[in-house]
Amino acid sequence: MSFLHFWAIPAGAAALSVPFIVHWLTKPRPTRIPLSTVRFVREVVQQRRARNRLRDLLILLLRVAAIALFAAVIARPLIGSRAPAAIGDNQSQTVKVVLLDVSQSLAATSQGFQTFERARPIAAKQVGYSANTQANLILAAASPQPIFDRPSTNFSTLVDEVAKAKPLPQRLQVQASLNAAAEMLAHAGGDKVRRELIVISDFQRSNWAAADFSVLPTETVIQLESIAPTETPANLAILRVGSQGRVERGRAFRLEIEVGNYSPTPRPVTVEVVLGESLFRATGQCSAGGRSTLVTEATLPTEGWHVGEARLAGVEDGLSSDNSRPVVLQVHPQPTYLLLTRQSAETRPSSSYFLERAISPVAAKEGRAAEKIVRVDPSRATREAITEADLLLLDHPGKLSEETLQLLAALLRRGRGVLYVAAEPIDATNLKLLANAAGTSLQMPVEFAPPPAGQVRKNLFLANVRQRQVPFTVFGEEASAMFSPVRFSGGLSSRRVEGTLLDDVLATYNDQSACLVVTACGAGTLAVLNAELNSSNLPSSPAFVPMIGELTGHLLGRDRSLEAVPSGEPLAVYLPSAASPVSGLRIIPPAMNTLESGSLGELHEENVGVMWQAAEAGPPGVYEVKRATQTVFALASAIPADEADLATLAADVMTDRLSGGRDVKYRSALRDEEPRDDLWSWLAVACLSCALMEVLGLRLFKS
Amino acid sequence: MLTRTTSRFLDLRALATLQRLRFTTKRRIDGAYSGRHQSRQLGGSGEFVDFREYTPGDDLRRLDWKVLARTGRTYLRLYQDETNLTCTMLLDASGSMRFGGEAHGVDGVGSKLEYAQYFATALTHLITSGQDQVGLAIAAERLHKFLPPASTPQHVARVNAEIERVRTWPSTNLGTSLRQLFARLTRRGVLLVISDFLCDDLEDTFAAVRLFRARYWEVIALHLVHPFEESLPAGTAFRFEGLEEDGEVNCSPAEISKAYEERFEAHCTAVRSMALATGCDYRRVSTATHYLQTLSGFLVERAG
Repeated sequence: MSFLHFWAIPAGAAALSVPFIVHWLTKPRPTRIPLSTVRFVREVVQQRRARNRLRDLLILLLRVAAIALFAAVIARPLIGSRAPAAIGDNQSQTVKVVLLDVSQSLAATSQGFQTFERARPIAAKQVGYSANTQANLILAAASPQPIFDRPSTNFSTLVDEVAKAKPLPQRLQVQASLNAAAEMLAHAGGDKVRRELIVISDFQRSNWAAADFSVLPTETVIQLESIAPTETPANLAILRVGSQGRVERGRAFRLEIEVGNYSPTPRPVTVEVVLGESLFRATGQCSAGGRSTLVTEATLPTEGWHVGEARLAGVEDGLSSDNSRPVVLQVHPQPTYLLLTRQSAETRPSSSYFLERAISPVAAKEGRAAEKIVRVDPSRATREAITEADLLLLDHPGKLSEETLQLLAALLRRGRGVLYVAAEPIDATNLKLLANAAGTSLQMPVEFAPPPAGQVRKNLFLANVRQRQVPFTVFGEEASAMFSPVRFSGGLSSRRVEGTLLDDVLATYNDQSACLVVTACGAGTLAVLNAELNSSNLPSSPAFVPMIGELTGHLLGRDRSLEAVPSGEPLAVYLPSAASPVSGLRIIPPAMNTLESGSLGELHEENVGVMWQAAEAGPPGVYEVKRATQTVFALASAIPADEADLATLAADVMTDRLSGGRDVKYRSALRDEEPRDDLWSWLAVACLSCALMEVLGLRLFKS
Repeated sequence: MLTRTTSRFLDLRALATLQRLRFTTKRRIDGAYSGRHQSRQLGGSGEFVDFREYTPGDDLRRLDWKVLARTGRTYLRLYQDETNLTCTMLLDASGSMRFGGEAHGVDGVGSKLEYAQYFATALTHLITSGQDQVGLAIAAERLHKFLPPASTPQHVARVNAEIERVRTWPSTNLGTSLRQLFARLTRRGVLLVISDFLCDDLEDTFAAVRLFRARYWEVIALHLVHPFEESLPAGTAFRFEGLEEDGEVNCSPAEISKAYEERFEAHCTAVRSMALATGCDYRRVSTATHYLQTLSGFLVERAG
């Protein structure tokens, strides 16, 4: 507990002697009178002595209580969240950093008011003039934006900046902002300077749950000013729009729209997706407090980049800006497969033959051409041939050259898919060298090695299959039954690599070696099928073709560059290989964009292609990279999905668990709109009650 | 020899209006001399009252010869003797009787003692003017003064002088005083106790009174009450000082006035009850009433 006017406490303590002084001063000076019946008076007085003592004690207590309460009323005690109101009262040299949250969640409206409008007056008050104080303002969103390099006495500028501030379509990177504030406070003033950090935010759970105040100087006084509404506004948001698998020209694909329903009731929603001149509509029920994925089937007739927007139809909620989301889809031509193998096409049956047949099981028919599979000996494969392929298949490739491995690694990082059928001991070496070439981008969960001498790998069966992951999802609950008669032979031994994702091992043999491993590598994916197809009965199994089809579809469809980048955050994406060279490319912002051209980032050539790099992604919208009038790449910048959940973090979590041992005070600005510090009024009522009870007591005792 | 009957408490002009009133008693009394009051003796002179059959040993002089001659039976004639009245006044001279001295009451009568002095002097005058005898006892913690009943002018002068000279003592023991008085009185008569009865042990006091009653004394209790005793004075705070070595009490009268009045009335009721239970004639006298008015009423009431 603290007091607004602490001086009233010693004054009140001194005033407690007043009743005694008053009692002494008003003590009646008795008139001496002789009386013959003193014995009767004494008897009566003795009878009433206990009553009078009780009366005197009660009256004295009531008077003392009334004075103590009056002193407390003047002192204005501040309890709990109101206690920090005393911050700034200190007359010593003070360095104050005000961290104002300008993330997208503050654009939410509640009861007709934008949340940020509650923050503005508080921030203006905090950066207003105060004697012996230096202050600075940090506008916190995806990156902290301090107004000055160090705390300043230029309060008018800070107030102006507060007036000009508005919510940005970005999420709050809490720790970056706290780090900036910590650095500012640590370098400001000397040891005897009072350091204050005032954070004005809605303390959104998705942002603040990982905050750590321990980076701040130990003696920093931290005041958290919450401007979150008392009830979390209901909000619907489009969190992600994408395709399920690779989108090909004229071929139906499943358009997935993830919708978040951050409200306590289920909501029926309709999402309209406009892509060029095409309009798709998805309808469904969104469960309360969760995310739901709406799926609609779509077909795009032309190749190239299709840009547009998805929006929720007929929705009014707390945050309107996340009711729409920019969409980018690349419509590919029919994929090209490059099969790197030393096996001859005429050798039948062979592992590569089975693989080729599984990818292209049917002949070309009207309206749909057969998959284009190019079989090349690795030693004769050109760089262009490898680069132009949509999916790389490696089956009995023999020893790969270092140049080929470097190229494969680079293509993997840029989003290309690779399916490696590991059957020979040399494949273990190739995979190891590939992992080395990919560097930290490739963290394979197992390390393959040639089987020990004398150990024959045959009649292996699948002991563990991840039914809920591609490619086994297509079999549903029957996956184990489908693969139970399948016997595998050949392949490599494997050893688990600690610290990697076990989930990447999708199937395991009965000898605990890995059968199928699918690992992300940069933007691409590497799949390793550890088996000799020629000596296994898998090709003759009905599960073979669907499994390979799902697997290649997954490898082709994994195109991370199509996912929207979070607005305001650092951007670094590789452009497709077709976009090279960099000369002649220009970045076209969305029509509504007001950013300067320099803020759009830079395109520069790297050894694996053209990279688009920017300190921060622009406002939400679709950014296109064009060569002349042709779009070679498109990228959607969108509000991060985290901002859609407007739920706030509990005050005790902020003050206890996240405080990092610092003195953290929490106050809700909304409660301040209610009668503030109403404790004093209750104390005043108690004081008056004591005075009234004193009068009543005197009347009751007939004094 | 003191023969003067003047006293500052004796106002003969005022008493002139009471001259026709006599201090009487309804009971037959023993007296030393003949007087106006019925004697307990039925002698041979006086007023005829009855006949009684002769029994051996009776005085033959009272035999009614005429009846004997006519009827041949022996009867005695009975006559009521008349004698004088003997009244002993016991004046309470305890400290409490001094109360009211500073606040002069009605017609300048201040303290209860002063009132008692006026009353006793006047009554002495009236008793002795009727050829009756009057005695005086001054009592406090013991019997301080005793003048046996007599009716001579010298005696009356002494009585008046003693009444005039009386002073108060700081404590009271009426019981002891009455017992000492009882031991010194030899003849039955009337005992007039003039007191405020503010003593520690009322039971003991009336136990002593019962000694007199057992000897067929007629006891009259004159209970003096000062109006300022009946209720406490109005004010914020007083320090009441006792008049009989009973210390001081600080209090606020407003807080206890009602309880005090109840307690005082309880005391008066107790005195009255005990007096009547003992067979005394009780009379409560407020010093706010003029002593002549009190005396007049007292005498009229006794005269029936």
